[in-house]
Amino acid sequence: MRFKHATSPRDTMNPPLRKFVNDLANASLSDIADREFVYTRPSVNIVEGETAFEIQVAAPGLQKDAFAIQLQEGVLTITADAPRPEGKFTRREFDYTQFKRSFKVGDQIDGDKVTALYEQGILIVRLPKRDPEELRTRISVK
Amino acid sequence: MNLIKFDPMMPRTFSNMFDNFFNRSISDFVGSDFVMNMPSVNVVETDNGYGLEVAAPGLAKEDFDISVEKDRLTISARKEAKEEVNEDKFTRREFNYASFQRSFYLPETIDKDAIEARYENGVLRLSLPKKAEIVKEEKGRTIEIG
Repeated sequence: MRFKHATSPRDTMNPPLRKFVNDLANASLSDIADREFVYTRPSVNIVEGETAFEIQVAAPGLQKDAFAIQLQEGVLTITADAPRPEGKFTRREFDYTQFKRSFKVGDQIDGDKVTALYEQGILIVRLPKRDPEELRTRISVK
Repeated sequence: MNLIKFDPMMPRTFSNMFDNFFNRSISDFVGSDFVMNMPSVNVVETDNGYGLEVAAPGLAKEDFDISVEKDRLTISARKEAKEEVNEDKFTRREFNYASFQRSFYLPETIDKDAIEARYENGVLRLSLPKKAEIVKEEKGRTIEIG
């Protein structure tokens, strides 16, 4: 029996993905053809705290003015619209200048208290939870 | 619409895995094994060299380690964890750039001693200038007629 020691995230990947990641680790500067796609949709982490959710959007290289955040009918939409960079790209793996991501947040969020900041390339949207008592409609017995 | 017969022996390409990943709904997401932990890189060629952009948000410039050994440029980062983050708190986890390493083979034309790096808005930007004599050579020379 083979004994497997520490498993890195790479070990748990399926073989094509692992090959892809290993290829990335040994790349040249001009390799426009070896990538199948350009990441244009930023990755998102969501952390749930006791009093609030935090949405972290990994969208590096923008200015805070490029973002628009909207909360409408229980759906939070984050869009970015920045000028597309120009130049002679010999390798192109990311372009986060134009994107849109939506999240269903429902009525558990207090929309008036949502705040956002852009720090080290991560857009952090803080969504304070509504007091559960507020959501409950009390019917008094007459 | 093209219908493709499912063949269990056919390896799933990365791109189709990627599509599946984005077509999942928010509530489905928990438990996914795909987290971006290798930052994407763009390289732009200019007249005087190359500009390399590493999309590695959420770090501090002190977290990076950049070195050149022979013709190999290695960029690595390790984020010093300030506070213990309880993994259970993540209801969605698509990225984690806290620790990575990427290497690139540099063309001979690059002046290794002139490489500069800057971290701004989550992008690590390296300028890789060509050797002065190469730039001069590429530009050519106009011979004046005396």
